[in-house]
Amino acid sequence: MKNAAQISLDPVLVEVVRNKLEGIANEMQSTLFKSSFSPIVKEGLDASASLFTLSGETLAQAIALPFHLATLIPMVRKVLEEFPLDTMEDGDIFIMNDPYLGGTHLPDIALIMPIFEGGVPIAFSAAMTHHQDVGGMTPGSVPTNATEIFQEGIRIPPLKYYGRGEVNSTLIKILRLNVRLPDSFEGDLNAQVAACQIGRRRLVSLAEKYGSEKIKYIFSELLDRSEIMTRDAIKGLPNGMFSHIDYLDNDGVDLDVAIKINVSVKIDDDEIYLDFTGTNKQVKGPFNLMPSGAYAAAYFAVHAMIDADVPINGGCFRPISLKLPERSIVNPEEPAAVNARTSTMKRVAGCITSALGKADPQRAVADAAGELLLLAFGGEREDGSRYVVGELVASGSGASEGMDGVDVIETDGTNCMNLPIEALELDVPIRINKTELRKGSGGAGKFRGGLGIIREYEVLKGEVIFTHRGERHAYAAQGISSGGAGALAQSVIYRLDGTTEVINSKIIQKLQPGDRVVVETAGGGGYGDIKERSQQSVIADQVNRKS
Amino acid sequence: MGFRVGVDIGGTFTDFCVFDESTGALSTLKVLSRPDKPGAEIMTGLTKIAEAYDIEPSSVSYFTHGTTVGVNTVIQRKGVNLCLFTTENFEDVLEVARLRMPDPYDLFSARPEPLVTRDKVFGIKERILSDGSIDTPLELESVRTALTRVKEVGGDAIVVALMHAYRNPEHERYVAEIIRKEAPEIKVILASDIWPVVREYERTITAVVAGYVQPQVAYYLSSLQTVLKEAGANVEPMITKSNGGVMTAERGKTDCAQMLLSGTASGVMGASSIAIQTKVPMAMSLDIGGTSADVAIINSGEPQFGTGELIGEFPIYIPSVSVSSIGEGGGSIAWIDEQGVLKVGPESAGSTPGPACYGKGGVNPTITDALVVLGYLGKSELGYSAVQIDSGLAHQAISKLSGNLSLTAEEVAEAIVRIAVSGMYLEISKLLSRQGLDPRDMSLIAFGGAGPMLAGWVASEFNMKNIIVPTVPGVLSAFGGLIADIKNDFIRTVYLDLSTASVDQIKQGFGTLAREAMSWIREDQGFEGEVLMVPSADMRYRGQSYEIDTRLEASWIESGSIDLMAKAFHELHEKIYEHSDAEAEVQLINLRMVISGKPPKPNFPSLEKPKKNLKACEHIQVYADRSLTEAGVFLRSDLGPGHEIDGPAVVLQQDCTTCILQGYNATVDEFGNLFIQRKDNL
Repeated sequence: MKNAAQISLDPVLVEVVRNKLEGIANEMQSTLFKSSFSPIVKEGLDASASLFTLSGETLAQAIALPFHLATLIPMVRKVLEEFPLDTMEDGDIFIMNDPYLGGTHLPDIALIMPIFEGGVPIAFSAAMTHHQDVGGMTPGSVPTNATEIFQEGIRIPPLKYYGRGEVNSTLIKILRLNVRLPDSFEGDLNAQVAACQIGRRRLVSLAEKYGSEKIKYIFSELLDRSEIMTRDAIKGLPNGMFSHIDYLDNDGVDLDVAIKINVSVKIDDDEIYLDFTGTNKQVKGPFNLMPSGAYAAAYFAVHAMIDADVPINGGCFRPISLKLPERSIVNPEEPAAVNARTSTMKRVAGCITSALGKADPQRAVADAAGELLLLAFGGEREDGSRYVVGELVASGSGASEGMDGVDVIETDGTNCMNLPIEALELDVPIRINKTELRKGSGGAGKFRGGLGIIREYEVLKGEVIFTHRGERHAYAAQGISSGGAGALAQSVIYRLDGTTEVINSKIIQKLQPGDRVVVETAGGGGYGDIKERSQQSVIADQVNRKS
Repeated sequence: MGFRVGVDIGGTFTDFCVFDESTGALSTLKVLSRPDKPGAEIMTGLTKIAEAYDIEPSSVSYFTHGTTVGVNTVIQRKGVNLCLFTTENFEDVLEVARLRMPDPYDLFSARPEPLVTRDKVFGIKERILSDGSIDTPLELESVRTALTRVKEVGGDAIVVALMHAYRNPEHERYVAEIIRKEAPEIKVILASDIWPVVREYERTITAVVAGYVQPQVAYYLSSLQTVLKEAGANVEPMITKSNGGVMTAERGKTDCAQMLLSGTASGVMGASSIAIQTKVPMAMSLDIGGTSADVAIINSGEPQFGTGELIGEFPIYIPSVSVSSIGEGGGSIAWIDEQGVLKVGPESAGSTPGPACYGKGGVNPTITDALVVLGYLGKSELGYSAVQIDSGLAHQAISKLSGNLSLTAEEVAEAIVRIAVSGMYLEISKLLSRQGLDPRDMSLIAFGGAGPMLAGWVASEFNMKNIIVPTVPGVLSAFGGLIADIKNDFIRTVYLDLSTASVDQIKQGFGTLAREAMSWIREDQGFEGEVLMVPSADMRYRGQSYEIDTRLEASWIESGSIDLMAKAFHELHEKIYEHSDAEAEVQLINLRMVISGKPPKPNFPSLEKPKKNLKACEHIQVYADRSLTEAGVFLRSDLGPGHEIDGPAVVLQQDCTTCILQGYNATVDEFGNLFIQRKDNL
C-alpha cells in the first residue's frame, strides 16, 4: 500500500477522474452502438471503445465482450511505431486492421485518435468495430474454409484516415472498392470517428478543468493502483507451475486432426507467466489466433480468476506475460487464415482458467464445455426472397466447489444471445421441433457439470445451405478433483429418405425439405467425487430430470 | 367537495399526499411502514390525517395507492406453488432463457433459480405454427396427465404458455377450460392473456412472474379494500401501474403483471406533471431515498417506456416507465479500501440502524452524516419527528475516517459527497449516453427524502441547466398516483410486411385492439369520461431483429396510408440510430394500443404573491470549498412566488431538506416550485 505522503495528488480527485474516464468510455461505446450499421455490432455487441495513455496502455474501456479486453493494445503500439508521437497532429485519426501488424481478424477495424489539449498530446481515444463485410471470398468475410489471409478480405496497414481533420479520400476510394457493402462500411467508419471525437471532446474538457499535467499524472496513478491491486491478488496464489491441456476438434479443413492447446502457468510471487510451448502448430483452416487474441484471453482469464473488483486498465496487464511459440496456432505466421479464431480464443481462455484453478483450488472450476455452436441456414423463402439466419447454441459450464455448473450458458469471454424459436419460425421456413436440456450430459461429481442442450431443426421448404461449426465433438470438458467429464457434443442429419449423417464438428452441407438436424451440445466438467454428492442434490437431479 | 388521498408504501416510510378539492391545498404525511402487517400503516395514516388536518375518511372521494407487494413477493420468494404447462418438447423455456450471463467476468456467475423448477413444468401435446395454423391438435389426454401431476406436486396455480399462442390462443383457452372444469380449485393464468407478444421466453417469464405473485397481491388488495371500508372511506382504491397509469384494485387482483413497478413509476409520473406545469422541455427526475437513487428521463412531460424491466432477478416485458436505479442513497456508507482510497457505497445503513446521526445505533459514516458535518443538515427534524439529528454522532462517525486520510472531518465530509456524486455521474452518464442526451439542456427534478439535499452537487457535476424542487418533494410518488390517468396497454403480434397488401390486416388488427381497449375502460374500469387512444406499431427493417415502437396517427390507419407509417418509422430510425433507408423493406411485428382516461384531476391555481419579504429564520455556518461560509435557513412554508434565495442556503420543510449551494440562486415560481440555478448563468 502506498502511504499518503507518496501521493501528492488529492486521492478524492483520482477517484473522481476514474469515474469520469469510465463514463467517457461508456459514452463513446454508446455512440458506436447507436450509429453502427453492422448487425454484428447491434446484436452481438461486437464493438468496443477505449482510452489509451500516450505510452499505449489502456486507461479506460467500455467492453460488452470480455474478448475485446486487450485487442486494441498491439494496434495502438503499432500506430505509435509507424507514426511517432511528435509527428502526430491534432485532428489525425489512424486506421488499421491487419492481424499480422497487431490486429485480430480483418473485419475488426480500429480507429485511433490522438487527443491534444493546448497543443500537447494527452491521450488516445480508440474505437473498434466488427464490420459486416471487408471483402474476400465470401459475403461477411468469415469464410470457414479459408486457408490464407488473402481470401479473408482487405488488409489495412496503419494509415492516416484523417489528417489534421481532413478525411483521406484516396484511402476511402480504395476501401470502398474492396468491400461488398461500401455505404454501410463507410457508415460504420463514421460511427467510429464519432466515438473517437466524443472521447476527445470529453477528455479535453476534463484536462481544461484540472490541467493536462495533473490529469496525465492521475492517469499513471490509476494504472499503478490497478497494477498494485492485481499484484496483491496474484501474491495470494501459491508459487509454482500449473499446466493444462485441452483440444479443439479440428480446423474445419483436416477434419480428423485435433488441435492441442497446452498452457503452463508459472506464478512467481506477484507475476504470472503463461507459456504455450507444446501448443499445436498453426493450422490450414481459419482457426489461427493472433497474439492480440491470446493476450486478450489471458487477461480475461486472469482477471476473472483473481478478483473482479480491480478496476480494469493497463495496470492489470503489467504483471502478466506470455510466451507464444512462433508458427503455432496462437502466434501464426503469414499468410495463415485467422477469421474463425473465436473458438480458439475460448479454448485458450478456458485452458488458462483451468490451469490457474490448479493453483487455487478454492476458485478452481472444471472445464466448461466452452462450445458456442454456430449454425447458419441459408435458403429461399416461398416469395423468392433469400435469407441467411445465424444461430448460436451454448453448452454447459464447469462445476466448482459448492456449485453445479450452469446449464446452457455462455462462458469464456463471449456473451451472445440465442434466437427465439418463434422469431426464427416467423422469419424463415424452418421449424424447431424440440429444445430441451440434455439430460445426463453434465460431468458427474460432488458438483455436477452444466448440461448441454438438444435442439432439432426441420427444413420446411426449399434447399438450404447449412453451416455447422461445433466444438467438443472429439474432446470432452474434463472434470477436476475426481469429477467426471462432460458428455461430448453430437450432431446428426436425419434425411427424409431415412438415411443419417453424423456431423464431425464442422461441415457445410445442403439440406432438403423434410430433412432434420439434431444438435446436442456438450456438458461441462464435474467437480469432486460423485460419491460425495449430497443425497438432496441426487434427488433434485432426478426430480428435475437432469441426470 | 372531498379529499383525494395518494399513498405510496416504501421500505422505510409510507407517504401520504392529500389534496383538498375545495381549497386546492396539498398536505403531506409520513408514517413508518409496517412490512410485518401490510395495511396497518394505511390505517395509522388515515387516523393521523384525520387528527392533523381534520379530514374524515368518509370525505375521501378518490384514493390511489402504490405498492411493492408484488416485487417483494418475488425477491423474498414467497409466491404461490406454481406449475407451468408448455408445448411438449419445449418444457425448458425458463431454464434456457437467452444464454447470456449476468456477469461475463465472474467465473461463478449463475442464473437465478427459476420461479418454476423443472419438476413442475409439464408438456402438453399440441403445436401451433407461426401463422397460427394448427399442426398438432391439442391432445386432451396430455392435459389430464399434466393435471394429475400438478396435483401430485401440490400445485396451486398453473401458467399455460404454448408456442405461438400470441397468434392463436385457441389451445391455451381449451386447456384453461379443462382445468377449470376438472380442478376448479387451481388458478389458471394464460400467457396469451397476460401479454400476447411474440418470443416464447419473454412471454412465458412475464406470465410466470405474474402468476407467481398473484395470490399475494390479490390478498393484499382485498385487505386494502377492507381497511378502507372499515375506516369509513367508501371508495374503490385505484392502484398505480408500471405504465404510470392507474386501475381499480379489483382489476389489480388479476392484472398483477401490470402493477409490479407501481411505486417507482408513480414517482416519475409526479415528476412528469411538474415538468408539464413548469413547461420544461427536457428533464431528468432524480428520486433519492435511503439506499438508492432512481433516475428517469422526461421529454416534453412524457416519461420514457421500456420493456424487460427487472422484477427481482427476472425480466418482464410489459410496458413500464423506464427507471434506472443506482445503488447510492442518503444511507450509503463511506469506507476506505485496501489502497487507502475513500469509497462510498454500495453498502447502505438502510433505515435500521440508519445513518449515525439518527442515533439509532448506526456507527458507520454515511452521506447523510457528511451533510450534517458540512452544516447543511441537523437544523430540523427529518420524517415528521420520526428522527432527530444528533450532529455529535455524525462528527464521531466521519472523524473515524479523517485519521486514515489525514484530513479534517469537514474535508472528509466534502470528499464523501464528491465521491458519491461522481459515482452517480458514472451511472447516470451511461443512461444519458445510451440515448445520446446532453445533460446541459436538461432540468433536474429532485425529490425523495434525499433528492433535494444532493441535487445541487449532481446538477453541477453535469452542468445542468437548473434544478426544480416541487412543493411536496418528499411524497412525490404518492402525489404521482393522485394525478395519474386510468390507463392500459394492448398488443397484438401480426408479423406483416408494411405494404398495401397488408392494409386490411392492419386495419383489422387495430380495430380489434380498439374494441378491447374501450371495453376495458368503460366496462371494467367503469370510466365514463373522455378517452384517448394512441396506436403504435413495433417496426423494423427486414433482417433486423429488434423493433422500434413507432407512434402512428389514427387517420393513417383509417385511410390505409402505408407511406406515412413507413415515413414515421424511417424518421424515428434516423433519430435513434442516425441513419435510415427509405428504400428498404419495413416489417410490422406488433400492433399496440394505449388507452387512457383522465379522472377528475387536482387543479393547481397560481399562488398569490406573498406580501412579506422573505427573511431567513436563522443563519448557520456551512463548509464549502474548504472554508466556512454563512448560510441562511428558510422555511418552505414562508416561500411564495417571486421570492429569491442566495446560496449557500438551506430550505426546510416537513418532508425534506433542500440544499442550495454556494454560487447558486433559487427563485420560487407561480406554483411554488423552487428553481435553483447557477448565478453566472443568469
